[in-house]
This record gives sequence, structure tokens and C-alpha cells, in this order.
Amino acid sequence: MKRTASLASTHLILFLLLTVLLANVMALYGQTAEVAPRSGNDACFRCHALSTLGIRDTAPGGIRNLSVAPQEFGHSIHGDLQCTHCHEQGYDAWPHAQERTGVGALRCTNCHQDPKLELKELFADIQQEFAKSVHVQKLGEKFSCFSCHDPHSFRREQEVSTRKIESANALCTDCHESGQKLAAFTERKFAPIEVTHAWLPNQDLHWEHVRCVDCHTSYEAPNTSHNVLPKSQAVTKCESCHSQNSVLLAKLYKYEHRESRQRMGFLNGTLLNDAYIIGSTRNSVLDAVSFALFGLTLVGIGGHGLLRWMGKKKREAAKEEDA
Amino acid sequence: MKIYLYPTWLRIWHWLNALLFLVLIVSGVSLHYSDTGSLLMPFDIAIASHNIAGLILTGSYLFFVIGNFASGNYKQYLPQPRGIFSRLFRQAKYYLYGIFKGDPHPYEVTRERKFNPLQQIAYLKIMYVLFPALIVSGWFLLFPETAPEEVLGMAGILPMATAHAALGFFLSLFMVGHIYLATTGKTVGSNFKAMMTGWHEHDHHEEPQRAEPLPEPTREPELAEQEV
Repeated sequence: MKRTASLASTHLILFLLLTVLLANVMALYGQTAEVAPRSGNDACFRCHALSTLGIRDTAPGGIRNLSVAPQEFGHSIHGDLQCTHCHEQGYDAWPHAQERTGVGALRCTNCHQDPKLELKELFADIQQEFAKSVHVQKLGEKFSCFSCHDPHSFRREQEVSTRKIESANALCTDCHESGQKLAAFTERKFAPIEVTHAWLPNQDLHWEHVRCVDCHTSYEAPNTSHNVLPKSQAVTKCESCHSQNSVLLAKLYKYEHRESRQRMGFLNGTLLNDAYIIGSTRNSVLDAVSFALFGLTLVGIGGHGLLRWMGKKKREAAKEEDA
Repeated sequence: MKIYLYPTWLRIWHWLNALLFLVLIVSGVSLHYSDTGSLLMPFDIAIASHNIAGLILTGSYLFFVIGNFASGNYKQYLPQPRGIFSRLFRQAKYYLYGIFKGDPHPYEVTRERKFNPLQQIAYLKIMYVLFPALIVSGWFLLFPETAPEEVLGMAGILPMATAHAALGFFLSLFMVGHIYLATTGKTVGSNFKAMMTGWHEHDHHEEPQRAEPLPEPTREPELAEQEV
């Protein structure tokens, strides 16, 4: 049995190697006049741009994907970096040195603790929250930044959009809806999210407009959405979001609401971007007009009633006088 | 004098509508000001009662429209265009001046003309324009995915929500005025009693000569008028 697996593994590596060689030969054949020097990231992408590049992993879950889409990487927040900024040593020869490439060898904080870096404080906060999260509490070392985030495609989007929400939610559903990826971390089985969220009205609308972490992470400072809470502590009160002081303003919309809270006369105007949330997006102008009209109506009715009553009394007095 | 003005189906609809309106106002205000929910209704109860009352209101409105057309009651809502402004003015003058002197109502209630000119025009707009708009906007909020994706760069559901809030408020305001004006009957309570028994009570008086003709009778009275 072990022998068969080992054979299969050897075949797989051989196949991948041949594919890489073939790709190289084809590339060279097409550029006989001038061959570009393989400097910088191009040299890495010679192999790693192949979408099928992978290696058999010792961890459960089978093959470890080693492919990086060059275009996606180019558009990511790390797109300006050289691969060797993070993958420093041990990549000169093939196969690369295991101690450099294994899971856990690389850490975001290797760079993001640099005091010169703009995001230093944010990462210190993230680290603090991440350590408290239910993922780390239950899975320990098995769970790292890379369990959710792919640094080769990560983009920092401050503007709230359905695309941002969709990609943020995909980070959660990749494991929580897929048995295969989940198996790499735990033997636990989760019920489908439609079932666990059966109590939530308009499920599709909620999932389109809010992120899982907006309800499932702590709102305590520093509130970086990385302290994933046990499900018993998730936000389940409708009015936490559906109110004028919606908690979403401190999380999902925290970058936007500062500027546009009063835009167009709408309180929490920023929430109006692509969603209407009962209770949190009321129109302050309309409310003021309503109150004024209501007051005027009551005053009008009171005055009218009083005049009627006075008229009646006067007529009764006149009648008595006549009598 | 007493006349039978409000048939049973109309009275049932009227009071059901009133009850639903109260539920919808309380729950609607709770949703609109959900951060002060503890003052009125908790959010989840407000949602459920607003949705249920809204559904029943839709049914009761359809019942009203069908009943109105089946019975011919709809004709009461159609004002005669000729001389409408002078009639509106005369009624407004009564409400703003004559009523304090104890003048008689300028347009005596008859089976063929149960609304005065102001009521006629107000009820026509409310029952056939604003009320259906309130219901339709409410349904868009109940099924938000059916609203247009985008209107003038905003999420399409927003104009629906704003219209729903504004119409709901306006009709609630109308209800306050409606209840007050109901006290201007023969006695303060006589119109309320009329809407429960169906029999409208008022002082009969000779109407002064008028320039404009009365609207044509819509149908033959079925029940005899009673002199009291």
C-alpha cells in the first residue's frame, strides 16, 4: 500500500517536472532570437505560473498547490515585491530546501513587524486578536494567517462592495462548506450554513451585504475582525445592525462612514451604498418634516377643538339668556 | 334624522383597517427607530407583526376595492369636476369658520352623497393612490430582491423604503385628522356610533340655494330613511 502511494507520488512529481520542461522548451522555441534573462519573479513564474503545479503533501488533504497566478499576484497588495522578499533563501536549487518551504516557515509578521512599515500597529492588533480567536484556541499551531489569507492574491479593499464581501466570505466558506479543506484542520463536521442560519431572515441578502466576520468576530477593541468567536457569542440580535448606531459602522463600514455619515441628508449615509437596512438608514430630513407636521396637526386639532368648545359654550349661554 | 349609510361589509373593513393601522403604526415606528425598540416593541416582534399585519392589510384592501366596485360605492369617491373649487372652498370655509358659530354642515349627508367635497377628494387620493402605493412599496420591502437593482446610483430598495416611510407617516397623520373630524358629527360620538351600527345621524336642514348642481344620485336607496 505504502509502495503504491510512493510510486504514485514519484509519478506525479515526474509528470509535473516533464510539464515544466516541456513548457520551457516551448517557450525557448518560440523565442529563438532573444531569450529574456530569468531575473526577479520571472524565474519563479517559469514554474510556479503553471496552474497544475503541485506537490504531494504529508498533511491530510493530498496535494499542496504550488501554483501562483502571475496576473493575480501582480494585482495583489504584494504585487510590487520580489518573490525573494519573503522566500529568502534555499530557492536556488530544485527541489527547494524543505525547511524553507514547509508550512509554518513563513510568517506575515516577518515583514509586518518592521517599524518602518505603515501597517505595523494594525498587525500587532491583528496578532493579538488572532491569538484569542476560536481557531487558534482549538487548532493551535495548525492554524496560521495562510489558513485563510493567500498573500499571493490578497488585496486590501477599503471601499465596501459586494465583491469585497463575496471574497471575504469565501475565506470562511472555503473550509466551512468544503469537507476536503476542513479535513486538513479537524475531523469535526459542520452542518450546512443554510441550516445553522435558518433563523436568519433573507439569508441571501444578508450574505450578499455583510461578511461572516461582521457577526462572528469580537467588537471589542482593537476590533480588527480577527478574533473569531465561538458561535454562542456571535451577533444574533437584529437591532445590533438594524439601528441607527449599527455595529456595522465600526467594522464593515469603518473606513467609509467617517466621511459620508451625513451625505444626502441620510444618517449613516454610507450604509446606503448598496444596501437598505431597516432602522439604520432613516432619512433625517424626512424625520424632521414628519415631526413638524405631526406637531402642527396636533396644535391645529387642539386649537380647532378649543374654538369649537368655546363657540358651543357661547351659543349655550346665549340660548339660556334668550330663555 | 337617521339614514343607513354604512353596510356591514364596509363597517367590517373599516374597523379591521383601523386595527391593522394601529398595529402597523406601532410596529413601523419600532422598526424605524429600532434603537429605541424597548419603548414600543422588540425588533423581532415588530418585524413579525408588521409583516403579518401588512399581509392582512393587502387582503383587506383588495376586499375594499372589490366591495366598492361590486356595490357601486366607488361612485361616492368621484367628484363632479364642475364647480369643484367653489365647493371645496365652501367646505373649507365651514371647517375654518362656520363650525365655530354652529352653522349647519354645508353639504348634508345623503345616501347618494355621504362625503363632503373635501372628504371626496381626500379619500379618492388616499384610497386609490396613496394606499396602494404604500402597499406596493411594503411588498418590495418584504421581497427586497424584486426591487430594481439600482435607481439613480442608489440601491433600488432605498426609494421604496423612503416612500414607504413617508406614505406610512402621511397616512398615519391622515388617520389622526380623520378621527378628529369624526367628532364633528351631530354629537362628538355620533359618527363613531354610526360606523358601528351603520346608521348615520344628523340634523336635517334646508340647504341654501347653490350655483352648482348636486351630483346625480348613484342608485336608488334600498333602505328607507328614518325621521327621528
